[in-house]
Amino acid sequence: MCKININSTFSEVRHASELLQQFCDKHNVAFETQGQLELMLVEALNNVVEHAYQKQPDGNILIEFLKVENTAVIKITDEGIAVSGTAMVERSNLPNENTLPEGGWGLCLIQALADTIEYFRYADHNTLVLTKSAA
Amino acid sequence: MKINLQQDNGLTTATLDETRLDASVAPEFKAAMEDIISSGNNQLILDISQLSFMDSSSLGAMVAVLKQIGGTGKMVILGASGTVLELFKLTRMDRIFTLTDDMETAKQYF
Repeated sequence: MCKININSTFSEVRHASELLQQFCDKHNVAFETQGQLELMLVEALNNVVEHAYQKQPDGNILIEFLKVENTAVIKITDEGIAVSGTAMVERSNLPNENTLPEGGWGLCLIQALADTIEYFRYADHNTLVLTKSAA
Repeated sequence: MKINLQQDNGLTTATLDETRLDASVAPEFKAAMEDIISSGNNQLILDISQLSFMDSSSLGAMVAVLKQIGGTGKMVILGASGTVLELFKLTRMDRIFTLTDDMETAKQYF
């Protein structure tokens, strides 16, 4: 297992990406899958920075990577505002491309790329667990 | 943010000299591209072939750039590959942007 604590800023998200790349290299994850895992991770962390911590830079985010047999697991824990309802795990609709949207894709991308998504709300923290086959 | 410009008969090629475009640099990318377009470069090939990673906030910045170019200009995206190309497809924005992986084909759009 591999873990890192970052602050809730977009530049810190980049550090988590770098650690994921090292993790994937160590576990011989295919290049294409590595890119998809990175996109899942970054979109999920961007959501935490933007929504859970409302862009306040001093929030704590714990990120853990593990490989269980042929499955890569990304676990993200934050102490920010929880995602409302079941939005994280329910299938989201893509923004209409003809309206030239400038955002709103993050959740859809995570849902399209991850094999499984679990979201847990505790009294003082939230945990998102994403898995993807990495055979 | 390194963007190299090359001009040829009214056509500008902006080559993004970065391997990664994410939320930490998307505003800087957007501002740099807006400066380029404001300087009269609205017939534009944006070469992103060096990019190995791009997130959706950067895609949003590209949409903003496309809007700024407007109806009188044109922008062709050159060299999206791997996860970067997948991002365009998963968001269906490959239907909005003109994408190609070949410079000669890119030039034929103008």
